[in-house]
Amino acid sequence: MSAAHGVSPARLDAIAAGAVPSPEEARAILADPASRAALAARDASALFALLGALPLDPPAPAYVSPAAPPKRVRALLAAAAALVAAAGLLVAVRVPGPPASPGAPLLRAEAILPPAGPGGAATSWPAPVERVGSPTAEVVTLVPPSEGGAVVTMIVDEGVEL
Amino acid sequence: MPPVTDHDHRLIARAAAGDRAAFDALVRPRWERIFRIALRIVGEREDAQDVAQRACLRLWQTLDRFRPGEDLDGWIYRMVTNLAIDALRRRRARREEAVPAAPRPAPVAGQPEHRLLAAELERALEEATADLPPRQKAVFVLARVEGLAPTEIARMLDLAPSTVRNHLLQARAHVARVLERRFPGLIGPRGGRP
Repeated sequence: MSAAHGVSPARLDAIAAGAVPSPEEARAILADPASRAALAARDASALFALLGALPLDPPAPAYVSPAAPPKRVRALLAAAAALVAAAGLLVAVRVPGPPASPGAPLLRAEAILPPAGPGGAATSWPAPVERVGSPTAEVVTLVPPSEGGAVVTMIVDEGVEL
Repeated sequence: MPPVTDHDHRLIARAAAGDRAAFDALVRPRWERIFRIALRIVGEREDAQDVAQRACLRLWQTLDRFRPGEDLDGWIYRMVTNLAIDALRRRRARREEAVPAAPRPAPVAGQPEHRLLAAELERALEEATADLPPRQKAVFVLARVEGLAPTEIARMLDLAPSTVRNHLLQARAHVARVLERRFPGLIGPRGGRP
């Protein structure tokens, strides 16, 4: 019967042997019990070839580039941008450490690095940390990965008491 | 697998140098298949998305190791398959300790007939392969659902072709038994044998 639905016995033989059916063939076989029986009689597991020919239902989730910084980092960037906009240009923070050790900055550049690029090479984001006048101060510039986002500059100085 | 085109080679070179847009142009057309392979092996969309994302991340991190003449699709699908096998092993280990996962939803009445049957076939695939060892399930999915040749699968998974054929033989026999026993409606009326 299959011929009546456009799937010939020869084509069923080919699908049973491993050929990939077209979406139309897959729908035709699915819709026709006699065709399904004929295919299953050749090889029951070949029925699953029909799945491979049909689009996913529901469809696959949208592609998200793995090269973009993770959601956590984007949220951090947005929060930092809002902080800078509200409070001015500069944020200097220091968390007091134990008496014998210097304080640790709240935010470390290496803690928010996005996935490394090919071969482990650092991507262009964030910009490298540079030293400024104070021997204990560091300027950290966060450049968003997409154009149009806010650039956030922070000075993290372990030598400044709040 | 389709051969790597000159266009792909240019994208690979740019992506290996850190060009995100080139990487996305390379992977986006393959995304659905990456996700589909992951889904059919791990059997659960959330885990499949995680596997597919991690495969893309690994590709981004290792693309500079790709050499001209290599099979790009084989390379990508090998990554996703191996990650999916690991995820399936972890999931089954978790399931042994936890409450059984909820079964896939039954097909919804009112859909066109071929969609109903496709949904039923999805459930049958998950049930019929639930007892297969993870690697055997992966071989079955790649061969029977994705239509890859045993020699391609052997190359992708670093297995001997005879091992792939054995996996397939065992998986097909098991799947046929489960289908006949639990999904007779999918197989259709008796008497369809040639």
